[in-house]
Amino acid sequence: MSIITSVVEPFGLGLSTGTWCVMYCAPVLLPFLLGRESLSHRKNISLIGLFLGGRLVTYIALGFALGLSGLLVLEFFDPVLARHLSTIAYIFCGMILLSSGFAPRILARLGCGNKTGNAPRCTRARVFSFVSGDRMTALLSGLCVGLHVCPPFWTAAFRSASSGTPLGGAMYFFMFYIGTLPFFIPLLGIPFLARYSGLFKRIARMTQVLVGGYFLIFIGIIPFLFGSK
Amino acid sequence: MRNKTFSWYARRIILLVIALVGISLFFIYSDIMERAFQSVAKFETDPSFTGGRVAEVFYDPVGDDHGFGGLQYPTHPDFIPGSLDLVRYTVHEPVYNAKWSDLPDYWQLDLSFSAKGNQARNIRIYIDADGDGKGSTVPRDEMAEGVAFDPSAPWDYVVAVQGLKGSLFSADGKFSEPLFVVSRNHDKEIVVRIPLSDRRLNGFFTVNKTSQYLCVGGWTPWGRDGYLSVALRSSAGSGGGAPSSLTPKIYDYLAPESRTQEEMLSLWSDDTLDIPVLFPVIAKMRASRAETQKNKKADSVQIEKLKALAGTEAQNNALSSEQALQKVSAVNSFEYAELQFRAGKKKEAEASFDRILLSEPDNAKALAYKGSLVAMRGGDAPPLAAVDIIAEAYRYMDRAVTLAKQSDEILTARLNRANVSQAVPDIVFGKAIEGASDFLAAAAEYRSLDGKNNTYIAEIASAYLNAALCFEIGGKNEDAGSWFREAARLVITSDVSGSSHIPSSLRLELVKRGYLDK
Amino acid sequence: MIQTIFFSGFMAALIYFFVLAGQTQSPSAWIYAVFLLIIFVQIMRTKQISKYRRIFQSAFAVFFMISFIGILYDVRGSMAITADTTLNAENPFCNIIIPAIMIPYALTKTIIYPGPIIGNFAAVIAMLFIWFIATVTIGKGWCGWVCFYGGWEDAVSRFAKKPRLHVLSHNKDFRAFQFAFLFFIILATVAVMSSVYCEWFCPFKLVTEFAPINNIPTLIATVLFIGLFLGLVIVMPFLTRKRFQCSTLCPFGAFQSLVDRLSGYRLCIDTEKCTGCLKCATACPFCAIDQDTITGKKGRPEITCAKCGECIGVCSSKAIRFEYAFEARKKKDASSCARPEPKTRFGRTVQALLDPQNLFIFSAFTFSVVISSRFVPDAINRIFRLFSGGVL
Repeated sequence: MSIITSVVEPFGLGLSTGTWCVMYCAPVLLPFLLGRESLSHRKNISLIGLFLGGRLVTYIALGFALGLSGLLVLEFFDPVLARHLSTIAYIFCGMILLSSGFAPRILARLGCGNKTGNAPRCTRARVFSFVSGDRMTALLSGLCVGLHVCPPFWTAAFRSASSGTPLGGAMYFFMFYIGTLPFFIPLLGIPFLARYSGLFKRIARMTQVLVGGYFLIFIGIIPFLFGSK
Repeated sequence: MRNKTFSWYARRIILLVIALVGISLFFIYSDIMERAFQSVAKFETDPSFTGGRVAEVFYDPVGDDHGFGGLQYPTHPDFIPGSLDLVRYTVHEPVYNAKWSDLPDYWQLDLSFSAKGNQARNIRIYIDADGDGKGSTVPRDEMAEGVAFDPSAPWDYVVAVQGLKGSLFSADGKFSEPLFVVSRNHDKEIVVRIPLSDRRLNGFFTVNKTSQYLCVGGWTPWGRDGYLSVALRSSAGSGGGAPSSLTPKIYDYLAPESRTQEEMLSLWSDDTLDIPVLFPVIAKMRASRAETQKNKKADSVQIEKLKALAGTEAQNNALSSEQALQKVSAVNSFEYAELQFRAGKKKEAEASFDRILLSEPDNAKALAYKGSLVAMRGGDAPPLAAVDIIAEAYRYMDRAVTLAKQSDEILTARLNRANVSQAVPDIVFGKAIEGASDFLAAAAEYRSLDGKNNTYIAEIASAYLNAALCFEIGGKNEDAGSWFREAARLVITSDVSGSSHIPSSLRLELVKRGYLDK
Repeated sequence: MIQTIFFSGFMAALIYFFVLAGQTQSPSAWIYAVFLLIIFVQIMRTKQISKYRRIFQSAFAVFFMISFIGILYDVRGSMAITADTTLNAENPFCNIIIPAIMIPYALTKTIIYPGPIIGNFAAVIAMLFIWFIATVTIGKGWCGWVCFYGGWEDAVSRFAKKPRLHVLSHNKDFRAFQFAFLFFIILATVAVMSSVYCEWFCPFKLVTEFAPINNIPTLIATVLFIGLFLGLVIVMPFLTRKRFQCSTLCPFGAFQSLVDRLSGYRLCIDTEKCTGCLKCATACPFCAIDQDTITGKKGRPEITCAKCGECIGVCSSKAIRFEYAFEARKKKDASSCARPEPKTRFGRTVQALLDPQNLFIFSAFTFSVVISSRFVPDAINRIFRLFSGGVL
């Protein structure tokens, strides 16, 4: 692959189709970030960074795998498989959002701590507490969202499969990812909104639970088991 | 109590006026505002619901449903003239993950015909999906169509549609898939959706173009691959006009730009038993902003010349109408009233037609002209009054169309109504598409009078052009394109045969839009 | 008296234009026209705003269902959404998903709903125009006076004389949930680029149209629709005497609450006259008055007030009234609803004619007349046909 096809083309593809990525990431990120307690700019940046980092890991892994499979991918990577990947991603993402949303209440019921924000360390539910923490939620949901196959992703998948090498495929996806990053810049302004009332945070947390439930059940479990409507 | 200030009253009175009349007026004029808004905002439905973005549109000449040039329809009533006449073929971009659809991934193809008659059609679209030179160069049933295909573009898949049933087959015979087929626009249009969920069809998502052979034949359950047979004479069970057993059974074929259907389909040989070889159209699979036919630069010198000629012709026409008026002696006759109308003497003409309608209230032609004249009055009236006046005009003209039985009555009624529909603001009245229908109906009437003599070729071309202009006004650009092309084709035919004088005003519209060179 | 005659006269002209014009031979049009005029006159004369408003809205909800389903059968042959209607973008567009289509439109410049763009009442642009004019005039009054779905809850909530479930203390939770649901619908619609509310969460599919049940997901969706309708539109309004679905779920209602700022009218609670009896809070169908609203002397209902007038009817100290939005913005003391009392008869007449309550009611009822005039006479005709041996 030349420099054009391995750098410029995927970057351009990401830049031209980045709105799609924001459309899939916004339902996960927005309520999550808006519902955090005392969301400083630093915390906001670190959570967004962890989310995008998780997404990056998935993209590079996929690019590597597609580059390794080469054109063989055309033999088995079809829309049905792509939708299955997406539904699995939604199932896991939904579970993560729900556990993060319900964690304070669950931990409180278990006698592990107060109902607010980052679940405190708790000897009786250490794993759950860790996974439901803000940082892990951001990272894990980013990993899941990276698996979602949208039309630009589809194009990137085929192009990276024809790159010939696993590194070429990974590079293609990496540059595609970089091209989508500018669209996440507005998220840096969330702390300005988040300083509003506790009611706002409450609404955001409820939204997070609704989004998690929708991902898990309506576009996760139901299509996985029964196909789409 | 403080004195009330002007603004205290003003705000409240404004809200009072809004409450009493503002909201009602908004609803009364909402249709007009909506059309104005849409002409600017140009909202459209997400294409994934309606078939995907349009990748390419192909136009096929109207009235070429004669195969090699001589095929005739069977006499069975199911075969309505025009039912096998393909006029437009639209290729959409493949759609991935469509919502509200039984097919989440599909590729849509739309076929428009000039007349209804789904039950009569046997359609094959042979597709070279990958350009790899592998596939088949003969039809699925070799003896069915009676043709072969370009060896440089052998087909990989064929879309086979009969009525509202369709299947996709692969050339190697190992794969088949049922298709989703619906008809719309009173059976004149077929929509075919090819499901793309099978991984063997993944290639359609990434390929940039395909080569396609689109054949339309008659359908019969007893024919080879469903194709209606053709013989020398038509009968209920076969088409006619076929001089040889090797005559292809294809009534209409979508030819590439460099060739014609007649040229390709007539190349069989009874001596050497060679059958015609068809060449495909190349269909893009992605919507692009490439220049369309409409955007071709037109020669400005040519345009100025045509404008001058059109102006001269208009003056000559007005003069000859005036002269004809002076020669008529029977001032109370219908002929006189008609001449007054043509000479632009609106008030006098309206009075004349009123007199005629007093004694002949069901005179379709008089009603049509009366309606036109009332509409012209509306054009001169203030906007609010114009709406009612135009509504009155349509009452006359609608009645004229209903009562018209003879050809001249039909033509007068349809053309008057069509001209008014074209002239009134579409934003206000929304009549452009109806106008197009009227022009096309008039063209059909002229055709029925014309036979193959080309006597009315200028009138038919003019009707097609005006229909296209109406479609353009109404935002139906694909339909407009069909009829601009058809009008241009008739002008070229007329020029070649020298059979009729085409008005310069007609040429001008086609040259401006790039459908004609001169 | 003068104001009743003045406004009723104008309303009669309006009713004639929208209901009777071109239909003077139709008995159903006359029946409906007379019904509307009586309702309006009674509102103006008796000041029992909410009682007659409820009668209208409940009737409209039922007749709308009859007409809408009848039209679907006439045009399509069934209530089910067919592949044809989606392919041709002919599904009637509903105002409830207006908030959900805005961001997808901004991102993709397309409408993510397979409905007609222009050409009839249920087209996208027509609905957007209706929404716009309603928002800048009556704001969330649409929910209280026009919504042909909310009328079901208005009707059912009156079946029981007393609430069996007291939910006053949960008003804040309901409001929070409603806004969270709006936020969720918008985000989920953006994520899947399709109307999530229509696909899974609309309780009114039973009385409009729905996807045919031909697989498990559509069966699940149908069960959900039926459950939401029975639960939130029938059972909970019956138990709580509230418009429960409107207060807790409807995303359009939540959206209208946010844009109600653009409307010209508000409700004002005069804290000096208020005795703190909380009858208004108990009566409010939209859970827009909490205990805190009264004890905290806020001076106005919460954001979800739909200006239905229920609180005005139950307040024994006449502490609640309509005011103009520009008056509310100019006030230094938010809790004061005082207005100058004119000394002369002329002054009192002018004040009555320019009273925000009268103007609001006239504006809101105009919408009621215009929107319902397309459906109710048709429904009455269908009922006549049914009883005379024909089909609906």
